[in-house]
Amino acid sequence: MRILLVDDDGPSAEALREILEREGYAVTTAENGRVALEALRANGFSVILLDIMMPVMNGYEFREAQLRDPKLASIPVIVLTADGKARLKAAQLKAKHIFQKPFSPPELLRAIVEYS
Amino acid sequence: MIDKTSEPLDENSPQALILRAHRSEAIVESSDDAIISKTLTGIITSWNPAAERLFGYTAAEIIGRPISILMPPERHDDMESILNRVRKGERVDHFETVRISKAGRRIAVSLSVSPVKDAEGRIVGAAKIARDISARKTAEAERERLLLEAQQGMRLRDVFVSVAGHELRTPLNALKLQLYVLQQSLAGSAHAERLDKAQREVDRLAALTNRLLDVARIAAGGFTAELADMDLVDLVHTAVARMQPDAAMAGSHIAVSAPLSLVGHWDRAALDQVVTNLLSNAVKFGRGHPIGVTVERQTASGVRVTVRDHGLGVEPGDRERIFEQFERGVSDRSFGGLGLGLWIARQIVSAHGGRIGVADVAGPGAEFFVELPTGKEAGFANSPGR
Repeated sequence: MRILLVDDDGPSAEALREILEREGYAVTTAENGRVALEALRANGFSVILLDIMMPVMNGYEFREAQLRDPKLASIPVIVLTADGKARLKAAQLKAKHIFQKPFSPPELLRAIVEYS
Repeated sequence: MIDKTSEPLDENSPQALILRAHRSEAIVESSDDAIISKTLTGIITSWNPAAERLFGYTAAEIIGRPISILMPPERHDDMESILNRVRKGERVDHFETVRISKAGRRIAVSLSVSPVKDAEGRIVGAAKIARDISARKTAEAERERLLLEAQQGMRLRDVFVSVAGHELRTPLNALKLQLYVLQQSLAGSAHAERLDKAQREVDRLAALTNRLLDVARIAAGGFTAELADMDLVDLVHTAVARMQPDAAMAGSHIAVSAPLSLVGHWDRAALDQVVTNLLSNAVKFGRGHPIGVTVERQTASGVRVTVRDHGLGVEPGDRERIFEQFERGVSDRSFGGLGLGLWIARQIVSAHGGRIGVADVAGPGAEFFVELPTGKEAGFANSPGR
C-alpha cells in the first residue's frame, strides 16, 4: 500500500517515512502541495498525509486541486498540522481525520488502517 | 421672583402669565444651550446669550436674518426638511448635524426644533434648541480609533499566537517522531525506559506550549467558544482514559460515574481542556488516593461535572483565589505548574455561560464542579467563533 506524505519539515518527514516503511507501507514524500500533486498524478496512492502550512502550495490549495480532479478526489486525506486551530480546519479540508503535531505515531498508524 | 401672597394666583390671571413669561425668559437667558426662534420661512426672531457664545453672532447682528447663514452649503436641505415637519406641527428631536459659526468654524450640534403657535393655535414659527456636541463627537471618534487599534492588536496577537504555535510544535513533532524511531530500534534494550521518559517529556512540553499559547490568546482578547453538538460523557471518558496512566503512576485510579450520554452545544476542545486540567490537578494533589468523576444532568437545561480527589483539599479562604492567573493552591515549589490551569478553565466555562468552583464536601480532599447550560437556550452567551 502506497502513502503520499506531504510535509515541508524535513526531520519530521524523514522519521515518519521510516516509521511507515517499517509498517510495510511504500512512502513517497513531497515537500509542498505542487510536488505532491505531480506525484499524485503519477502514482496510485491509498492515503495522503497532509501538512497545511507549506511554501509554494499549501495544504488548502493542494486539497482544492485534488478535489477538482475526479481521478484524485476520492483518495482519503489525513491532516497532520502544527496549527493550533486544527480541529476547525478538518471540516474545511474535508479530511478523514486531523492530528495536531506533535501526534502519537501509533494513533496515526491506526487512523491509516481505518481510513485507507 | 415669586411673590408669595396669601391668595393663590389664578394661573390664567395676567399676573400669573407675566410671572410665567418672566420665568421662561430667565431660563432662556441663562440656558447653556443655544435657544433660537424663527419664522416658518426661516427668519431668525430671537437669539439667546448661549446662541451668541456658540455661533459668535450677537442678537442685534442676526435677528431678522435667515437661519441658513448658519448652515454649511451641503446641509441646506436639512432646513427645508426640518421646517416642513414643523409646519405639520411635528417636533424634531436630537437631530445631529453641522453648523457654521461667524468665524467659519464647523460645529457639531444636536438640534431639537418644535413648532411655535399663536393664541389661536396656528403654527407661526419654530423654536430651536442647539447643543454643542463637538466634545462628544471628538470623544466618539477617539473611541472608534481606540477600538480599531484594539481590534488590530487582537489580530496581530492572533497571528503571533498562530505563528508561534506552528513554529514551536513543528520541532516538537520532529523530536517525537525521531524518538519513536529510536524507541522501536531499541525496544527491549536498557535504553528503552529512557526513551519512554523522553517521549513523556516531549508530551509535557507540547502541553505547556499549548497552555502558554492559550493564555496568550485568552489573556488579551478573551476566549471565544466554537460551539457544536457534542457528547460530554464521551469527552469525559476520553479524557479520563488519557489521564489514567498518569494517575496509575501516582498511585491513584479515576472512577467515572455518568449516564450513557449527555449531548449539548459546547466547544469540545475547550471543555476537554477544562476536564483535563481538573483531572491533572486531582492526580497532582491527590496522589495515592482514589479520584472520582461524575457527570449528571442537573436541570432540564444544565449539566454538572464534578472531580473529587482525596488529597490536600482547598482551604475555604483559597477557593476564589486559585482561579486567578498565576495563583496556586500551595505556595511552595513541591508541586509543578504555571498556576494557569484553573484560570483557563474558568475563562472557558464562563464563555459557555456556566460556572466552575470548589464545592463544600465532608472529609479530606477537594471537589471541583463545573456547571454548564446545554446550550441553544437563552442566557447561553457566545456565538460560533472567529
